[in-house]
Amino acid sequence: MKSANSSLRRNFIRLGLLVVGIAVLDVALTSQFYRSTLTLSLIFAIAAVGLTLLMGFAGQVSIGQGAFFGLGAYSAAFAIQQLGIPPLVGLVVAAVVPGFFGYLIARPILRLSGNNLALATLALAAVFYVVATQWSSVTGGIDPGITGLPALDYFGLSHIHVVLWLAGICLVICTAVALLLIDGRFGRALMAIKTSEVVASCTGVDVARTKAIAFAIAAAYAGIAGALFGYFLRAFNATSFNVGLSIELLMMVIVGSLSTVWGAIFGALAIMVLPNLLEGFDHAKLLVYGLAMVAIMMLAPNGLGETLAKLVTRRRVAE
Amino acid sequence: MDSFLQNLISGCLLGCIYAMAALGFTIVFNASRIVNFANGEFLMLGGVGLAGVVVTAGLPLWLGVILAIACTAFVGVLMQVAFLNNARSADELSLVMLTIGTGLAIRGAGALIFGRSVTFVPDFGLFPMLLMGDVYIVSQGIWIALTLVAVGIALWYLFSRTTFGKAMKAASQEPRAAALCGIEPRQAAAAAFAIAAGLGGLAGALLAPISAAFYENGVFLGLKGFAAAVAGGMGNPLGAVVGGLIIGVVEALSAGYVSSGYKDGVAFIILLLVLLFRPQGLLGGVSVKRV
Repeated sequence: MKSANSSLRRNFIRLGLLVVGIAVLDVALTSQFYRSTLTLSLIFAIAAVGLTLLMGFAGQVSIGQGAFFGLGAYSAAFAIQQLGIPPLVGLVVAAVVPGFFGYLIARPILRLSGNNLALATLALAAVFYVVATQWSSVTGGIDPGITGLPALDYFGLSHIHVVLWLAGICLVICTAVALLLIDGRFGRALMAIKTSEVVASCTGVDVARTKAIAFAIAAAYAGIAGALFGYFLRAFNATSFNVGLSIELLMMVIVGSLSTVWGAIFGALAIMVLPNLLEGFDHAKLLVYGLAMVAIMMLAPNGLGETLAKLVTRRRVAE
Repeated sequence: MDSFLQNLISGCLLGCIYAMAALGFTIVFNASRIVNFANGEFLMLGGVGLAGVVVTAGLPLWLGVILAIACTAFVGVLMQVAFLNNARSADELSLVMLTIGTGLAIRGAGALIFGRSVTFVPDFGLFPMLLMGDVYIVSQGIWIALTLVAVGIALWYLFSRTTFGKAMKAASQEPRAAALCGIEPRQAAAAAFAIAAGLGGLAGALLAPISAAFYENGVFLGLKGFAAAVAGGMGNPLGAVVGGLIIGVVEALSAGYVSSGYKDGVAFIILLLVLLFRPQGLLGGVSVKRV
């Protein structure tokens, strides 16, 4: 028990370091471009943390997180523009709607496993994309989409600073919740399910319910990320939520780690930052992404970040 | 009534394409138990490759089709030999991810090599347009339907009449026993990828004159192929053809009577519903799941 608590403490110290890191970067980054890259990384990291919980800990693959991301973005925009709800409360709406929807479809969809689950979640992402492009009265379709979201300039700070900190705070809260969940009974239940559903249910875990809750949490996290994405851009359309988004979120987890939430944050940062640093990379982006994904799955199936971290610590021990 | 018949026919023609995609998916699944998420990219590659050879390079159409099929088959074999073979010990999830990664890479390579423009290819010609009252079948449609029939007969002959096909079947059903009989399961898997990819390339090339070739076509075509294969019962070749026709017809009817914008979603909703309520497929019998 003691070791579990100390690992939790270590994780919360890391969380503190994350906050310090964001603050330092916020001051140090002078270019607006780098600051928006950082903001996007923080936003996507929230969704990736949720997916790690579902995929890394519960062992349930989802290639449909883009649907919940988009659902969050649209519900927040709807809450603000049609219902007159303030943006901060809109974030709660963006967590609750996808979370609830995720919980509803989790039970039937999570009876599937492996290949079929991957197919079904991918189909979910595709259905969402089609609906988002076609249901123009609510989503605005592809043209014009959602426009005219308010600028968040609280406390005399500029929009981008506010969104950066809002994303940072959301990421810290979501990660803290994830860490607490993993450390407790729920997290152990998830890991038991990943190992064997039969064994888990024999030891008193309500498998269907636990999986559904994990799915709902991942959906809610994706929803929060989607809402922040919408707030940040202030205008977006359905093309942002195509099947590629779901695959990109999946890649963040793979690039990071399947067994810790820190990997998700690392992965989101890597996926968002690297393409911006390599100039003229845009036309070859898909090819490089694909080959990177293949290489990682062949050489480091537990996640690139985790494998690198293990290499470093092993070398340190050897010395 | 005529518009219903017309919708039915165009649905069947699209369904033939989905059936070929589903067949490729089924062949690979049967040979290696891999659900190949890159299967749709083979169709994309066939179409875009044909457009590149015929429209951009100006080569004759028949050569373009052969080249498109050959290149796609080569990509399929490469994918199996270079990537999947070296990760065979990995679990289902890693393999799914590997095929997704390969699919992304193929799409990216397609965009790099053939460009990101939407290209129209001239139709194959030879057959006149068939007119029956107010209902017509375009000449390319005859090509598509005849090709599916020919492909179906060829595959049936391959898998049930030739030693090569029987060896492939054996390797998928009982890899160890097959290996003891001198069948190399990896070669069987590579052959399956070659057939599936070549078939995808052919289907993509056939589709290119009807709906333009574009490097992003693969995602939806692949998903519809999956929908067809799953609807017909995973691993069942006849089911794949029937599933493809069902998906095509339902899609065309919903485009005609509900809304053309939502037609792409219909196949995916069918896929979801079949997975949830009849995972053995519409044609499959009841399977017993053992713990």
